[in-house]
Parts: sequence; structure tokens; C-alpha cells
Amino acid sequence: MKRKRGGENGMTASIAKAGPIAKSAPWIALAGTALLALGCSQGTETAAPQGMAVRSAVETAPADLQLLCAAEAAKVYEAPSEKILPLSSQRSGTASYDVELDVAGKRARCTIDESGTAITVVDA
Amino acid sequence: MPEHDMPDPDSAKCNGQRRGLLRFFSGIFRARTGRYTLAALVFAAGSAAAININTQIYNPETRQWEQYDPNRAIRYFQQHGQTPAAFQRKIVTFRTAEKPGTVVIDGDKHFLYVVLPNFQAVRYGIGVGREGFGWAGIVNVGRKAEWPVWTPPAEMVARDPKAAKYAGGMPGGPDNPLGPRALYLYEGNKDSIYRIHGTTEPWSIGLNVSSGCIRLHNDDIVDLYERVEVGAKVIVLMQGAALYKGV
Repeated sequence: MKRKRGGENGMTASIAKAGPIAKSAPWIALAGTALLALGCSQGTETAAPQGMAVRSAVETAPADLQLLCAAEAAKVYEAPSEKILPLSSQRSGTASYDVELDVAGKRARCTIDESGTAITVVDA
Repeated sequence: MPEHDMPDPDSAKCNGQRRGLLRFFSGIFRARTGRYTLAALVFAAGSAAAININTQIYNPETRQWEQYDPNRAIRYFQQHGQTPAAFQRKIVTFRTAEKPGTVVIDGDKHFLYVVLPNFQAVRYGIGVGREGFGWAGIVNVGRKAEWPVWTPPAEMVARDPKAAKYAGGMPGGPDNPLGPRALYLYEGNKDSIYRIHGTTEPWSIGLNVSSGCIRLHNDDIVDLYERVEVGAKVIVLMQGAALYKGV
């Protein structure tokens, strides 16, 4: 009976059997979660680089990802790697980049994720 | 053999390389037609359209990203005795199918990588071509030189008495603008007129300052020189830059 009254889940039911400190546990957990969420959120918004960090004024794909795209395009277009060069790149999502390639004089576009997996290679 | 791509020690620019470039293309226009001329036009158009990506530095006091221009770079170097940490030599993860010893230049981020085994690379900070002088392409290391001779271009000799002194070539040494080592970049068997070399202006790492030369700290060019062999592939990435490949 207590289990049913206390709630539908086991945790609430067992708290109903416990003392006053345990009864406040859900509120503590809730407050903790809220603080954590607030902390994470603020951390993202105000995350400051350490010291005198540098960056490029325009975000491009890391060089290794650009070259992985070129390697993938070499397979797709059956072209020698010496004829394929990344021309430009930009972030295309939270964890991916678009890389424009010169493939033996033709343009192609590769989308690659941050893990280095080429998602698509298509004519540009 | 005269050098024609050397940096101007007074202006921090590779004016000699510019001259070499102009001579190179005027030669193409004079001597060849058809696809070579077209390629040169494409190159020229690309140069005009190229917009270099500059470096920014974070100011913890203002909490703003600010332009890292030559004045800022000199000030930083005077205050810290070195360039920002990101431009100092470091081993990093580098996922690539390129073989060890390959050089990859990211002109946008001002990094040069030399590929190591096991998906690693040594990363160095670099200075690259200023507006309109950046380039991208696939070349190779045609030759290497220790304490290379620097020969100032004719226009520099004409305007600068100090340079005139070295019209016949400045021997290698600590004051030589090329620094202690140079890697000469070739397309096939042809000298591209571009080089990777050291510098007498270490503060200029991270900037777009040359006429196409890739410059490193002197310690770094010595380290790179030991790691890279003649014949090594060199891939130069630079967004919006003119393509050297095929020209």
C-alpha cells in the first residue's frame, strides 16, 4: 500500500518509509540538478580561453580532416591523390565540416564529422 | 645560384619572391600560350580575389578577441620573449593517410605539420604570404640547404644601400633573413620559387607577412630540416588562395 501511495516508482516508495532527511532527498536532487544545469549553461556562455589564446578569424576545418576528405574523394572519383586539393572549408554543424575540393579541375563537396568519418562526397 | 624569393629584412616581406613571381609569370606569357597562359590568368585572378584569414588573440582583460597584427605581435614578443603558445612546436594527433615525412601547411591557421607514424604530427607555428600572396597546392621538397645564401632582388638593391652590399649574395649567418635552413619547394623538377625557411623576425610567426615564403622560428626550421627528406610531398592549404597546382 505504501508503495502505491508514495508514488509509482520505487524510489519514492522507499523514501516514504524513511526519515525526514531522506524525504527531502528529491528536492536536494532537484536543486542539485538545477544548479548543475545552470553551471553548465553559464560555463558554455562565459567559457573564456585560458591566457592569451589565439585562433583564426574564420573557422576552417582542421587540416587532417580536410585531407581525409581529399582521400575519400580520391576513392569516389578514382583520381590520383596528387590531383585533389582542399580549397575551402567551414563548419556545417555542431560536429561536422563541409570541405570544398578541387578534384582534377572539378569541384566537389565533402561533409566530414569531427571523428574523421566522411559522410558524403558529391559534385559541387 | 642566385636566390629570388628572399624576405626583405627591413620590411618583413618577401619582396624578392614577388619579383621572382612576376618574372616567372612574365616568362610564361612571353614564351608560352594556350593552357599555360590560361593557368597564369587563373592564378592571377585567384590572387586578386584571395582574402587571407588573420589571427586573433584573446585579451583576458577585455574578454574580447582582438586582431593579432604585426604591432600586436611585436608587443607580445617583447613582453613574453616568445610567440603565443599555440605557435610553439608540439606533437599533436593528426589523422591522415599521408605517409610519415609529408609536410602539410595550414596557411589559414598558421600551422605547418610534418606527419609522424601512428596518426601523429609535429606542429609548428608559421608566417605565410600576405594579402594576395598566399597560395595553395601540392609540391615537393626539391632541395635543402644549410645556412642558405640570400641574394636581394634588384629593386631592393636599388633602393636600399644595405641590400646593395649583398647584391652578389649574403652568406649564411645569424643576420641572414633566411635563417639557418631552407627547404626549396619544387613542382616536379621545376623550382616553384617558394621556400620554407627560418627568419630573423621571430615575432612574425602567426602573421600573413611574406610574398609566399613559409617562415618558421629558427629552432623549428632546424628541427623540420632534420625530419624532412628531399622528395617529400608538401601540401599547402589556404582558403581562397590562388592554386599553384597545375600552373
